[in-house]
Amino acid sequence: MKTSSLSRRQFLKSAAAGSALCFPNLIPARVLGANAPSKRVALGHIGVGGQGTGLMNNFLNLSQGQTVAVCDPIKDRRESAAKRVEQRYAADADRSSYKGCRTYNDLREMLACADIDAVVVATPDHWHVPAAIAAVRAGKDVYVEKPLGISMEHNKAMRETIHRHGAVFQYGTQQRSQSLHCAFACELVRNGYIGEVKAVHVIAPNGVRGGKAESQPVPEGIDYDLWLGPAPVTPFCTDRCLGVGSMKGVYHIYDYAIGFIAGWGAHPLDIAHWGYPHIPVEYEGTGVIPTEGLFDTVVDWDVRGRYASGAEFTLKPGSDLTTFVGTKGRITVGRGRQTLAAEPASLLDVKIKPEEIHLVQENNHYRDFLNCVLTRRTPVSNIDSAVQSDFMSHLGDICIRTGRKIKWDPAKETIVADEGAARRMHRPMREPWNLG
Amino acid sequence: MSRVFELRTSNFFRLSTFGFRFCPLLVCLFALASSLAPARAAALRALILSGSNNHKWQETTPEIRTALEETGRFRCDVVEDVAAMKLDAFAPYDVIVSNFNTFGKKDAGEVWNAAVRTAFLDHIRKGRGFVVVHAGSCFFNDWAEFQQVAGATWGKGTSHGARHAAQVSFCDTDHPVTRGLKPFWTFDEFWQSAGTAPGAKPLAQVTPSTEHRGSGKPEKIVFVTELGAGRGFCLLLGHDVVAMKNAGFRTLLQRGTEWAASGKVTIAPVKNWPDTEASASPDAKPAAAVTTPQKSVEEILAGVTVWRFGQPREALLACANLVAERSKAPASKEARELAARLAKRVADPQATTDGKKFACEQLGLIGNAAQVPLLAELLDDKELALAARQALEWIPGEGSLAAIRAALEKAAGAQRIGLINTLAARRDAKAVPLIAKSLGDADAATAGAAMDALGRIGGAQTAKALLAAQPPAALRQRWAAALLQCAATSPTERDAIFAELIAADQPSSIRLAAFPACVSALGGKGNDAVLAALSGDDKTMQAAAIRALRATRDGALVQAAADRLEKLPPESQVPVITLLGDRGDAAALPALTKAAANTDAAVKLAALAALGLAGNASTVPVLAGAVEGADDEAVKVIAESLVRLRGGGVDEAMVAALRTSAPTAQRELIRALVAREAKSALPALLEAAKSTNAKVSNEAVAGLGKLGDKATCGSLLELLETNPDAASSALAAICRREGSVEPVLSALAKAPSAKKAALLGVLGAAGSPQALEAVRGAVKSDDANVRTAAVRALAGWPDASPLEDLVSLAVTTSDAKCKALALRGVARLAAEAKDVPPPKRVEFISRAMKMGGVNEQKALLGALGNIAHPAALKLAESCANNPELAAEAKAAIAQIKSGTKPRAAGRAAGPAFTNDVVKLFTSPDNLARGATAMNPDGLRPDGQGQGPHAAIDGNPSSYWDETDLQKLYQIRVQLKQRATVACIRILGYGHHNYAPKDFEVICDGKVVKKIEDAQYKDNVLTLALPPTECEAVELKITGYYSRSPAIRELGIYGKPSESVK
Repeated sequence: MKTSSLSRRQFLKSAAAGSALCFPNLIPARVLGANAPSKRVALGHIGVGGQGTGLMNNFLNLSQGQTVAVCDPIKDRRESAAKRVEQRYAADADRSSYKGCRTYNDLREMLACADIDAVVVATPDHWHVPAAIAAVRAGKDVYVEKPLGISMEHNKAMRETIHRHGAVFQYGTQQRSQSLHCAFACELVRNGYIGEVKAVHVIAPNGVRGGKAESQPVPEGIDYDLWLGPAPVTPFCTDRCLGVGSMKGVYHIYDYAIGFIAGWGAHPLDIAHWGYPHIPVEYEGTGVIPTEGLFDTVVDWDVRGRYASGAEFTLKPGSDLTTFVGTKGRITVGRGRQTLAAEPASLLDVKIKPEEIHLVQENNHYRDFLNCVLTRRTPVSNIDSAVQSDFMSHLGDICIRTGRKIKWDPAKETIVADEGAARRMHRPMREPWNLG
Repeated sequence: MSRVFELRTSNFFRLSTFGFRFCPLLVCLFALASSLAPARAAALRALILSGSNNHKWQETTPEIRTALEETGRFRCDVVEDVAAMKLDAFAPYDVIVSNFNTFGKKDAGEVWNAAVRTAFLDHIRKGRGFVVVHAGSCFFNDWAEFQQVAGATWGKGTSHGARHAAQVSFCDTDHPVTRGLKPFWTFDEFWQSAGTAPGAKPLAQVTPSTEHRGSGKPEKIVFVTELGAGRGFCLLLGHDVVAMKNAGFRTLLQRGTEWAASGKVTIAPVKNWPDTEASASPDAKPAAAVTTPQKSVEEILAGVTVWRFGQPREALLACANLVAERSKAPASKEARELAARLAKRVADPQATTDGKKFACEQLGLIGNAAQVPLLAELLDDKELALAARQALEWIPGEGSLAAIRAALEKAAGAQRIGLINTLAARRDAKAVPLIAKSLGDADAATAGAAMDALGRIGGAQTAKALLAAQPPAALRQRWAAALLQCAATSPTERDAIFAELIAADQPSSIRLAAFPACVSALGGKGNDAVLAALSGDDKTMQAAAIRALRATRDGALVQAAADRLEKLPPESQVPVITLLGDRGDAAALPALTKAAANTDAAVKLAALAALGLAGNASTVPVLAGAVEGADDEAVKVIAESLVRLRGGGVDEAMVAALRTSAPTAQRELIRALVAREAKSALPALLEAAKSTNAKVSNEAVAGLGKLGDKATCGSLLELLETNPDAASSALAAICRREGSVEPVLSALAKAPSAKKAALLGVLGAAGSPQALEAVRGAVKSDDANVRTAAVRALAGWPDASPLEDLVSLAVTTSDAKCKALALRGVARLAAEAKDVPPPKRVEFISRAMKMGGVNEQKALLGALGNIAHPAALKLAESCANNPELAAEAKAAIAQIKSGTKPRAAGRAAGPAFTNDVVKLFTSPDNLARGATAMNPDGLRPDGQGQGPHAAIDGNPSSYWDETDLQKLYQIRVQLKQRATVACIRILGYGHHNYAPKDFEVICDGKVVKKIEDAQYKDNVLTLALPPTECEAVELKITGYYSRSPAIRELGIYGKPSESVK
């Protein structure tokens, strides 16, 4: 197995050897049709597994951007992603073939290329923030998959870096843009249609137990050391690194994630924060940490909390829904327009008036990001809100892991009067990786 | 206090269920117990049908049995081979309880032959009972008498959400089963829109919560039925054992079964009635939960030291819990004591490496200065170096820092990088000189880590060190990022840093990031720099200036940029314009107004959007004036901006503009006024409704329908003369909203015969019971025109209520036209009447078939195809031999069969497309690739619809879809060049669900093909066309499946369909 510092040295050597690595290869605008804007955003995709490829496909549909590079320490993944890009652009240009999507094993090589304007980060969670920070420090704008960081400190460092560099950041909580029904629900709450908010209830799909904890040789074509990155070195297992379906270990192993409480919780919690832009100041809860199998993030969580206003907060397993309960009514919303429900039902007939708060204008999350890269506007899922909604899952996880009530100081952004719990806001990283 | 624990209890319960099921001794004991129960009355004998169910019958059948036998009122037998039951199987039993079904089993076959079926019915008819539990009636779907006595079953429209707790209440408290019962809470799966048999009487209901994908409406879930002297009891609750343990469920099962068996109820309700939500929780665990014996701290730690990867982690979790519990105050005595014990284990030569790593991590969370020497020593340990460094990173205080710094002095390579990173994470200012030594390290990774660390730690000293460094080219970016970070923490070096970072030889990304920070640091003096950069030739600095504008709070600076807008290149104008819009400052309006007239499309669009955000009443004429000659995209942006405009007088300005604008702008203004719910615009809309331009008039009348109330009806009634279609829809909309057709009825009473037809049309569209009464009266009119209009109104009714009227009319009328209309109406309503039980819908169609001519019969067969029910199949099959109807009958049979597949109802009928299908459209043969698509219909995209281009983008996930329920949809594809077109292919939204149904294919304005009732195959429709050379292909769609014709992909081919692969 290569060590990371070695691969970095190798990279520097090859980078010094020539700039051919980063030769720009943008498709001329005319090829993509008369309406293509004169400037398109050159995109690099970091992490092109299932979710990363799905995201990439969404970007391939947009004339505002062009994918020029893909990066993944798993060779099959980066090569099939690049092939997909080239086939797609060949078809769009009505040509039999098209070459121009570079592949990278090491994200540092890709980030060194000046011809890439923005990157899409869809790595395992433990890489989200280190990769995105490195990208921003290299001058890129970033689209970052949810959840944000695997520690609260990750989140703070990400936010600081985005603001310092004036980078455009879009969080992968696409429900904000989907058919705009979530926006409508949140606009109703923000504009007081349910009165004073008394409770916010969030449910997200439960975590998963299992995974085969069986040490295996690292297969050919996987740079496992790079895949592990900042996480500790542990034996390769299929379910850890290449698992599919519910056995996708990257979602459920604590070294890489805090589990679905954040991995999927991010979606309904994001909506909770969008509609009621605060986070609870007290958390208390129970959950189960599985002791069998490979997966060791919390399942069956049951978190209750309280906002500074006195409003109640709950986070439980279920489908994917956020419910706002106010003094004058309640609204439930989740993925898909059909989830939108309100009491009284007449709330759904409300038209938000021009003078009131409007939350969104664009119904395509990916286009919103690209447009913002071009106009420097702030995308709909901005970093400040991403940090806060992700804090909620972390504080939920910490109150479960410590087994006690956690108090949160939203001004100082720290856990109050509990040093043991506060230490958990930080997670050290394996060298050479850091938060910049 | 809450704790983390592995839920062992559930295993225990699983075991005990297992034991109950299979332990013969337990079963015997139970049998003994029930036989010894005091006999209040002669025991009733119950036979439980089991052995097959899409639920866990192995668990639920024993539970049902227990629930019945624990009352002492029943003696139960269980049959697990239901298909083998003979004629005499029923005779000994007072009641048959079904926990059986064949749901999802394709080869279930008949289960019972005709003789057994008859025996069953005869048995019940003699005064015995039949009880259905949950899904216990999901078989014999084609056997009407069975379903009649069963009461309810999983019907075509039935669904359920996730299991959750909800309250069951009684809609009939006078029935022996429910008398005296109070509402109760239960945690169960709740069926919604269950298929109910005619005559089934509901006893109880529940409102499944929308939070759990429930309907949010009251759903009937308990029914009683009668068959001869026999009784049926149907209890749709009881999805699993948890639900069956509920006292409410148990009471209903016991009392319902007793009633079905005997007609009387003597059994008292079960105790501990679950009258609160909490009491229905599945987590309401028995008080005596199993607890594992408490292990001592040493036992737990011993477990950690032998742990290896791959083994269960009980010991680790126990240790983590202990650490968590005691770490609230790591300085406390108990915390220090645990940390010391952990340290001992880390130092234990016998301990496994995996165990030591874990113990190190826990030391990080609870450790203190006392463990620092041990951890520092381990920094050189090959296996534990990382774990030790990480623990030191966590442990606060100077001690751990000093240890790391000491280690750094002699470390090299990866270890050095790690230590530098830890000092950076701790922001250790004392380490700066030490780290700075690595800035020039020959190893770029080490030098880079030092730069990152200095940036993170910050301060003047670090800034100086960084400024003095001479980074190699490969580290330039990293060095600059660190310096930028330092600028905020070292005011004395700030100016030098900025001067360095915005210099022309820096990478552009660094200059872009540094400039806004530099400008804000300079205060007012920075403004000139921004304007200079904005107007300069340096592209990077121009972009940097735009970022600075985004970051500034200085309105005057932004305004100064707005004044220079025209002089900027278009790609710089767009972000500035967007910023002006976002700031919403009216001072920018003149600049934005000018930009809206720009010839560059991107600039123009950005300005039109920004006007919506920053504009006010004065912007209305600008936006309205921009409509004329604008392309589709621009019109869409204008429309959004008109709706968005804020401030006083906007609606009034729109009304004023409406009077002076050209027709295209008038339409947009009307739409915007409606979207703004500007009721004050009603008089203006009335005026516009009289426009000679049909599109304007239609839009205005539709607007009156949306904004108007009873008072508007008078004017709309007048408009029926000039614009009958639009006015009729508008009136109907108002009537529906106001819940009254009074204004139309009074007009009808006064109207001369010649004018009655239009009013009847309105009543038909409004569709209330009051309206139905009036139309029924008109059916009997002496005036043939009135009669015809009345029948037409019935045929177009929005719900199924006039079905019986229409069928009867078809039988009695002598007027051929009315008859044909009535039969068409039956076809339409029966096809769509989801609220009417399928057999009833089939019966209507069957009766109508006897009255109709061939054309009507064809239409009725078409309707029959929508009813996935065996009776529909039977009727369709009976027509298959009629040569005139064979084709329609076959199509109906195919549709019914595809619809009767289990779980095929609704949208979950499988994926909308497969990869193979996608290839059909991405093929180079597809002439639509690279073509341009447009919508001449002027409708708006609906839902997730992404405009006409989505239909030819080769991506089936995106689709073209517009406002629901319109009369006409058009999509036109302008080919890249003239070509011969011989085939088109459509991938609809879903198979016969949101897809074009009736349409014309038009090549360069000439209709080349007309399609009615398009029949898709796996959601793909392939149509051969007479080969036609043309430049544009258009679909003019007048009919569609569901509510609109959504198209995922439209393919156009030069070869006839057979040869397209």
